[in-house]
Amino acid sequence: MIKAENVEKYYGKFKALDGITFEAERGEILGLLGPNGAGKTTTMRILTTYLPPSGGKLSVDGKDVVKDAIEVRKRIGYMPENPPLYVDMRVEKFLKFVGELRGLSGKKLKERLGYVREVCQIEEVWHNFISQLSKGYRQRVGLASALISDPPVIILDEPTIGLDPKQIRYTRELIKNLGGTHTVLLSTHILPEAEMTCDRVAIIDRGKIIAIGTPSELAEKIRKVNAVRVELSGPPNEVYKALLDLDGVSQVIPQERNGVYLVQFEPQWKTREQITKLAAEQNWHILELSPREASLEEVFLEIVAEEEHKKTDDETQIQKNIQRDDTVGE
Amino acid sequence: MRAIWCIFKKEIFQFFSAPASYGIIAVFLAVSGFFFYNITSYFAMQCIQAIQYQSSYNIPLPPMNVNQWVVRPFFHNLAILVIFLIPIITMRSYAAERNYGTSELLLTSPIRTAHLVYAKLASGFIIFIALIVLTFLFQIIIDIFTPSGLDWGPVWSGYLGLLLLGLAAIPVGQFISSLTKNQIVAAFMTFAVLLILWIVDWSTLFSSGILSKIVGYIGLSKHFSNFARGIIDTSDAIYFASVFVLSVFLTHQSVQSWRWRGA
Repeated sequence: MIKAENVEKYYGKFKALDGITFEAERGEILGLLGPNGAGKTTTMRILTTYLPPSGGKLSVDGKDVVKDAIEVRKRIGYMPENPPLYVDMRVEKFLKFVGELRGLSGKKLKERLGYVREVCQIEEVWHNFISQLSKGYRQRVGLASALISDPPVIILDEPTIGLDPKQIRYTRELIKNLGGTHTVLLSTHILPEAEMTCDRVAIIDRGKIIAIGTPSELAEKIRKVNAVRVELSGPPNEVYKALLDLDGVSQVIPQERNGVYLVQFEPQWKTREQITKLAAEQNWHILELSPREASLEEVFLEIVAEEEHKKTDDETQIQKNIQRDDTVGE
Repeated sequence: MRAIWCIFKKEIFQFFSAPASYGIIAVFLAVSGFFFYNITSYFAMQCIQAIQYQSSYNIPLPPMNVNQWVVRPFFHNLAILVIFLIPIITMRSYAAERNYGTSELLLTSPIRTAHLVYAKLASGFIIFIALIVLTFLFQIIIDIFTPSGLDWGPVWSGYLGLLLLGLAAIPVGQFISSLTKNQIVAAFMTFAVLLILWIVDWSTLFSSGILSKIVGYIGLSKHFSNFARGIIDTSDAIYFASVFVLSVFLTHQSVQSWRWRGA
């Protein structure tokens, strides 16, 4: 549905996008994840034909964003980070305007107005002036304006910013429900959000996609160092020493509760088996033994750190280790 | 066509739903009413003087022409007012869209840039015409209180002149509005450009040669005053039409350029 090939964008001499390539299937929710200024918004703006690319090819449903801009725009519902709203209009009037602008009329328009009104939870402010709305409500009206024409592709730039926790949860649910029937591209710098809502995640850093895959695939990538949480009934000091002596264990980190340790080890060693054996030999009870999966946050930091490492070698290697310690030690 | 109509409706709605717009209308009518009052009072004074002159020296004078004494100067005053009015009508058209980020909504909607430009133009004209039509009241008043009645020919040509003035000046204002995000800057620059166009041919009063001819042709006021006098000349109409076409073209280019300038 969305196909980007080697997309570049220069702002003057500054290279904002450095050859971005990705694809999103019909019905897929693809997350663009990256720190601020990584190029997420620029990618979206090019995709929505708001900005022309400096190089490369981008198409939506087979239509080129440069040559077939109008056709592309028909297929896309777009909510920028700061939703563009006419503050001197009432919510209903504004959404009606956007609907008509996108070619809806009559019964169909009425039906869609009713739909977004319900699904975006804006019944309460339906007749209010947009200038009176809070940031959260404005965000929801923006989302409504992106959904009003029921486009096959929906592009959301930081959709949950400025919402309260309850709303964030609801919006993520809503986005998840849009997947399957709609292709959704959303950007975020909140990792759990990408993990929760997206089928696949592309990690962008400094204008480049440095990793792409399902959240679990990405986590898999860095599971070179594996970890388990362990609690054994033996005396803490002895347990600590015994764990450290196991084959392949690189680190044992005491956890928040006395007697609980996080054991990091090389993946090729069967450490869990070793721990069970150890407990049997020492006649200790296993109170807890759980594998710890890397969160997307760790993946992210790891991958970004790796990128840096490629550039400046040894110096960043130390940083990487520090970062790893920090994240795993949480 | 659908897109033009849709944006046109929005523009008209935005103008007439803003309380400030009624302030503008009120000030416009008050000032034009003040001009009208001054011109007619002056005319009445001149009439009394002429009667006194006639009776004391017993020399018959030609009758005073109300078109020449009231209608023509009133149109000139209206034209000056229009030069103040148009920047206020056009200042927000594009500058506000960019300032509030709604340009992103318009430029990512399935509409052509040209349609956006046409819709903005059309709404600008309709608002302008709505304001100008109100001044017709003054013409009716003068017609009622003049024994011989008004010669309506020059009145119609005067309105045609105002209409053409608006036709040329509104795109100029909208073009300038598309260059900036600041409405005040847009209004001020538009006013400056229109004022310069209005007075530029004064500089040719005491000069001759090709340059002065060109400068004389660029001036707005000369082309307008023909209409106020009741003379409809195609060369004047061509002047207004060329300003219109050039500004519309520039507006279109300017809005297109938002994309690569990252508006």
